[in-house]
Amino acid sequence: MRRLVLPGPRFIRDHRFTGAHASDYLDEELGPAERRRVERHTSVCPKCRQALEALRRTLTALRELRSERRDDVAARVIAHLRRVP
Amino acid sequence: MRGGAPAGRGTFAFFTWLYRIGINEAKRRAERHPPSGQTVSMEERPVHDTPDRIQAPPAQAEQLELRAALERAVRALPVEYRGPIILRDVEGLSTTKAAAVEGSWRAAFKSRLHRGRMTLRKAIDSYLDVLE
Repeated sequence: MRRLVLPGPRFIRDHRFTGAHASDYLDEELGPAERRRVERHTSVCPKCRQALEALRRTLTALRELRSERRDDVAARVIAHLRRVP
Repeated sequence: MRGGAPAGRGTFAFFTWLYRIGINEAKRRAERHPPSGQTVSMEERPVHDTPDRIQAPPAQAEQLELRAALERAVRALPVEYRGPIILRDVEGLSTTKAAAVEGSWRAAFKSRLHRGRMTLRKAIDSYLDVLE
């Protein structure tokens, strides 16, 4: 019979922390201890690991939307915001 | 427009002023034309910016579909989430500069940025699975 192992309180706290700070982690805006906390948790939580990787790939795809002309940033931002969904 | 452009404060201030014109206009448009929540079929609004899949190699076609899906998802974001995404992730401004352009507190900006990113991630989830 399989024994059901429930996650401990620390896992649950780290799980919530990782979910809430995934963006900060990828933006390199976490301190060293917080970064280690996210990395330690994603090494044992497949769901968070996959979610973080999916977010990383989303940010990569967003960067690729940037056009190469750097001198027209303001006009592009305005154009983006004006587009009707 | 009231006030006019700020004088003598350099390119960044001009960009900030211009951005705020755009975001105010986007908000006014959203108020005049609130989202109906209706889905639109591809027949009613075909995506013209996706090249013919038959001509492109499979991997390239999937990348193009991801790009098109992401562009649609960004356009569908509420303006309070779309601004941070465009400033920070598409245009590459730092968090501090992007928040300053919006005139937002940094923490509030980051919160909206994170929510925008999560919304986009979910919108393109199936495309990310295909590309693995």
